[in-house]
Amino acid sequence: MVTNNYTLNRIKTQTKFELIKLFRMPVYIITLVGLPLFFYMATGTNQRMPELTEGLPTVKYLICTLGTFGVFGIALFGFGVNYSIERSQGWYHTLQPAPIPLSVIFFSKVIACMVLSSIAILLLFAEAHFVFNVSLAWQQWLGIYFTLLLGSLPFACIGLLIGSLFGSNSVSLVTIMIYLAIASISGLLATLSMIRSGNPKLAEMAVIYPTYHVYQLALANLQSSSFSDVLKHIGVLLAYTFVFSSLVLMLFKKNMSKTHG
Amino acid sequence: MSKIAISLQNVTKQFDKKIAVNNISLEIPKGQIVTVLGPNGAGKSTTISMMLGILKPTNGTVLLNGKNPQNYQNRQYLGAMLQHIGLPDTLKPLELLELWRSYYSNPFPQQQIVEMAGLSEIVNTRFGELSGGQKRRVAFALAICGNPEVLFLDEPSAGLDIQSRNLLWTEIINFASLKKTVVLCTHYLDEADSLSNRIILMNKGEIMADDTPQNIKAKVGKKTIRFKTQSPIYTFEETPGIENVYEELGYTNIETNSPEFVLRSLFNLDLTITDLEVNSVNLEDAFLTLTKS
Repeated sequence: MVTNNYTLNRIKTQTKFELIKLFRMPVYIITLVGLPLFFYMATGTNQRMPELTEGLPTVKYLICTLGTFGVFGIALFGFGVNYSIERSQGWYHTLQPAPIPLSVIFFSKVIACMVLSSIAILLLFAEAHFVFNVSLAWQQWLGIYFTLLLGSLPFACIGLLIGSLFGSNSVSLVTIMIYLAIASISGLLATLSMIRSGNPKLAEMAVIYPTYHVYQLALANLQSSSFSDVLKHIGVLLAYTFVFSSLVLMLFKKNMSKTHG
Repeated sequence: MSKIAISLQNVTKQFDKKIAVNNISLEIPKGQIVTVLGPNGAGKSTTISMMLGILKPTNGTVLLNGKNPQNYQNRQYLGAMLQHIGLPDTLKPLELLELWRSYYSNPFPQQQIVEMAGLSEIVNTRFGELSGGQKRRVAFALAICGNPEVLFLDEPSAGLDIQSRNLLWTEIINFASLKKTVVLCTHYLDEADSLSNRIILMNKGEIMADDTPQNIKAKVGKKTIRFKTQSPIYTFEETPGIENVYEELGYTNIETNSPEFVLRSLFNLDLTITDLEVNSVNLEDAFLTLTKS
């Protein structure tokens, strides 16, 4: 019990400083949290915006897709890019002789990332409710909130993998390319029917990307969805989390004694 | 409780085909200040990394306070200041201390560390805004904050000006006076000479010498007799006991293993000699002689 409290205290302290580090980069944070809010505002106020998208009111549909876009960005940049930069600075090398399990450090990073994701999701909800008059049942708000929050876990693993593979000079560029490419192809920035009408093969590939499965799960809170589909989405996301976290662990052990990757 | 802080038994570390450390054994009792010295590629960093639990030996056993340092819980006993200081630029020293102290079960009180490492004027300045010397002081504070039994310092004064270096040396000596073990890894021979009571000299993955600084210098043994004189140096060449004689910057220098005997001979020659000095060989000469041999 003492050990558990001890570990819990260490996670609390570590998370506190992970958050302080993040919030001391205000431009970074405002950009990450503000981008989906800006896209929502730009799309929602567009006079030519269709009333319905994929059978749902567009302003509701966008909460799920842009919410996924938001947490995806925070996981890739706030987690992956940050990890690469700290690795290049030698932070993990400095931590190596300290009597702290690396799991505590990563767990705290995930929590800090989730706190940031929570803020982004809640601000998006506030925009939906107060600007676009979206009203949902509380179960639906809560359902979307937790879907997006837990859905950011596989994204965090992808972010970490990118952060492990690329050094601080190239990681931002690579992440932006991956971020925009996956967001566009999987239906976050353009609907799947729009992609399908232009390039059917590209639309078929959307199922490969974890972002597709997260926003489909979020949409399941707003429309009827078969249980088997929900299980399929969860299964794919769990597989992503398992495979990417295993790769990250492998690379982490390899990178440990190196300052520059 | 074991009286041995660090023990290495038949330790070898091999990277691919290169043997970085070759079957070394040593024991460091508690309370010693030990310097690991050697040229680049001697195996110092690999040895230290194995002591810190960062690297696993290919063969042999490394124990820290009788326990395996690779288990993070056993690293409660150690503090380390690595050569490369990679701390987040956005955190302040006081925050770094709070974070680092949370890793240890029995850390020093925060205020005591601030005083021990001379941080009081910079505790609230972001790490990225500190000078090189101040950053090293913060790294030193983090290394000692857990009240460790064994403190590792890798090139602690690299890049420091003389004033900052002297301040750091004082801090190291003060810490060691608490009956702690300090392992120092340095290129600065005067640092090794001034701070440590034991030197482990490594070269090509092996231990070349393991003794006090005085005994290591004595192993080379030579002393230099230095003076000014009008007499040409060939006057001294036949003098018994002289190993080498040469002129440098207007001084005549005589290297010898028996300075008393040579001095007596010199006075018997009845020459005019001024500015006479007898110097021990410095550690740098000893180091060069021993690594060459």
